[in-house]
Amino acid sequence: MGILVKKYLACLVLWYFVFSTAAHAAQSVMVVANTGDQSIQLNRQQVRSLFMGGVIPYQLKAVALPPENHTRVLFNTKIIGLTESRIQSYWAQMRFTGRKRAPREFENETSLLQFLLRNVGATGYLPAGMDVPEQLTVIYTIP
Amino acid sequence: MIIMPTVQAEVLDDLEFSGFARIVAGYIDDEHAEFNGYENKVSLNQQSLIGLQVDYQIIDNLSATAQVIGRTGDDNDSGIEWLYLTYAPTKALRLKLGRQRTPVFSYSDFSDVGFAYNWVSLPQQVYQQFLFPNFDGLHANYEHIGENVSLSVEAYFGEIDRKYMFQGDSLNVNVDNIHGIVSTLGYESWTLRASYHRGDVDVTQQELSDFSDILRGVGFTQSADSLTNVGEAEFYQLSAFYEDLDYFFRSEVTRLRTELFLAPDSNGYFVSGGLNFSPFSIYASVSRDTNKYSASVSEIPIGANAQLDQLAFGYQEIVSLIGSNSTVSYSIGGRWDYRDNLAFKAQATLLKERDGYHGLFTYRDQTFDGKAMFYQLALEWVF
Repeated sequence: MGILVKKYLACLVLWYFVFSTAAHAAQSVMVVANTGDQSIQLNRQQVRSLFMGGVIPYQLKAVALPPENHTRVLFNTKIIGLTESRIQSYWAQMRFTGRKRAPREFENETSLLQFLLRNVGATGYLPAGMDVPEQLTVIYTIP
Repeated sequence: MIIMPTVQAEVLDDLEFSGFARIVAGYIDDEHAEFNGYENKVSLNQQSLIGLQVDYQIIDNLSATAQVIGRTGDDNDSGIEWLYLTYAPTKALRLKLGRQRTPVFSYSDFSDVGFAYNWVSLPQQVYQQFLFPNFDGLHANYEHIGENVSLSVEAYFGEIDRKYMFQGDSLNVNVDNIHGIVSTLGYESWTLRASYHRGDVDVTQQELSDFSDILRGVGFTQSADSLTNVGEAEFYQLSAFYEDLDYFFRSEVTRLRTELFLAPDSNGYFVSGGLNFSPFSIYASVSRDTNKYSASVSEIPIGANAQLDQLAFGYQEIVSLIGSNSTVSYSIGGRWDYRDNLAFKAQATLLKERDGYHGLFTYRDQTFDGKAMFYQLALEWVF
């Protein structure tokens, strides 16, 4: 019983984090990582590389939201700079030539945030302006 | 017994199945010629194919991959296209050992995955033929990401020993010491790729080899040498791609030099540009090539006796099957990404022989004027 209550409360807290600042979140995104080194700051090119399967000089692993998600659309538009169609084509090329794998996808911002909190190095994008739990670091925001 | 299901579940977690398929319909709007198996009626069985891939993660940085392709078409080379181990000692370095597609040109190693590009058919004048689609060997890839640029360097070496079908003929291809280096530079929305590849090639087409042996046997060495399919082949490639949310531009220049009778020295390029209106995109492309075969020799005397005349006639017959040529194609087309893993495409291409020998169409009758419209529709799927 106690565990269920704790889980329920944890979900409520996450829900609060995700949606409390939804009004600001509509038009921009930030990149958040579970990293011990809170001084890490990436530039746009490095973020783009990280989410396109490239190698950057930090122990970070990208995770993503599904194609129809609004935050993902903003991330594609403002950071990756490619249409969703081209991104899907790119991952097909990478997979069937044995080069890279697309980041793991989570159903929504809540489940992505849960994963970030539990996994050191996990890096994802969230609506800008959202309250971020202390354990996580914002490593990139759109200027 | 109790732990079995858990073990099985873990094995399944490390095992991934995926695949791709394409259904391509094509039609030549001219009854006097054929092109790559397409003729003056709709055909679905020239480029349609299905590919299945299985990946197994053995340990953290070691995995195994197999990819099998079932093709339609006259030059049906169905079978194992990829079968390799991947070892990644660091995040930046990846080694692949086994059978792999040769990364000669920008699209060479994924030309079967139609979902991964916009055209229905890759620009004919650059991608019409290459001698070594697969190799067995080692491929290494090192990647460096700077603050503003990304750089990838690939190198590979290995060998090929395979039977291929080319325009209905069976060819035994043996390439020793095939190797190449590929460098790719990414800067903002640009990707620049430059590569060099070479191999020592020995292609056997049985009838041609037999005839060459006869010529050599009766002392016509120059004639026999001129039909040789043993020698060096070298490829050079340079490409520049640009892509953003609204526009894309792609261009590639290729050069092939060989010492083989069957493979001409070729120069080719394409230029393509288009617009994105997600989920739609449209494009226009121009592609052109020139192909120069080695010169024939006039060594066998004519009129001396019937046997020599027969040899001379046979030799002339063979060399008349090939000839230097130049061709061009103009395409327009579009793509609709209906789902994240399903796209429809359409393409219309004007194929044209420019000058010299007839080089583009696989069959023609005497009234054919050397140009034809080629229409294609495709469904591309990845799963």
